[in-house]
Amino acid sequence: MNPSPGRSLRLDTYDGQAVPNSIDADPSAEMVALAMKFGLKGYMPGPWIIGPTGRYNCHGLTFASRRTNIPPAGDPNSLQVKDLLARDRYSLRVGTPRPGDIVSYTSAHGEIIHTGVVVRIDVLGDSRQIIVLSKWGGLGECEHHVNACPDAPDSKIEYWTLNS
Amino acid sequence: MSYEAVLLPQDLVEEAAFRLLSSSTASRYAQVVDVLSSRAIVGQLIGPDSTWVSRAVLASRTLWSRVVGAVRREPEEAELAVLLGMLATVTDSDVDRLLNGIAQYDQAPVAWLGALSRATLRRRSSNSIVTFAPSLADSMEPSNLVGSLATAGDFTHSFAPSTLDIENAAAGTSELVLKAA
Repeated sequence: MNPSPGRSLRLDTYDGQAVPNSIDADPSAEMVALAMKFGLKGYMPGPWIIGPTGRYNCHGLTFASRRTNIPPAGDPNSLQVKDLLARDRYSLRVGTPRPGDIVSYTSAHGEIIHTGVVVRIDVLGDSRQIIVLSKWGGLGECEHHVNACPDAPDSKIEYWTLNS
Repeated sequence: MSYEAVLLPQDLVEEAAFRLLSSSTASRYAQVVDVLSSRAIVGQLIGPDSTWVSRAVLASRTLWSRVVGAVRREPEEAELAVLLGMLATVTDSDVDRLLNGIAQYDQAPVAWLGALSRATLRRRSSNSIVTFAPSLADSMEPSNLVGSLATAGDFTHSFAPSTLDIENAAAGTSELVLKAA
């Protein structure tokens, strides 16, 4: 279990701006079991690589090496992920994504609601399958097709590459 | 032991648990609540009636008492979040008290419910009809009001009285912000 949930870590963007964050409480086994009754009805691409935890969320995986939640749990407006991408010197990928790129999911409200990291491109016949590693909120971390996560429907999917 | 829903359909609560637990931001969490609570209201065909409101408030208090003292995020959070979403549109002093009570909390593991309640209160205040005495009207001016402001009769605030103190509300919301003229 996470010690002292609610605490935050010192975390800065590449250009030195503080990144608000917090370590959330873990979900209980009963909460996870309840959630997975729905999740196992076709929403899960496979087993978790790392199981459910409140330690970090998707942005915490992408930007903070699994150390914390970005933004803090329940915090409505302390951070825009797009700003975080800019401060970390990422720019929109033009063309086909590559392993290591960040993938972002932007809602109809214009908010980036989910991020992950492209881990590989599977070529199946004439099609390319983009495989992403991402953390699903307080649930677990898994590899999935870029379109196979809870936040994919109705989201605008974009790829970001680190400026050299 | 598996969780059994108190008031809502079990399958809806299971979906809520999955979608809320997989949400990474407070706004996404609130959007999920909006969608699921709207679906639940439609499922009742005619919307919440007064009897339902009383039962929902009672159930919400029971669920809240179970999660507020927990050290982890518990399944009651999912059902409570949807109930709060359903109650968000109800004008009732018990609902005000419920939301105001939960809104005081911003620490894990109930930070998500606290944020949801605060957002709900902001939305309720933005939709409320405010009228106040002419003497008071002379000293107040709405800084972001769209349309006319009623200035007749005694001061009333139809939803959350505490939200009158909203001068410090977060920027970018659609709240009615009253400032001393």
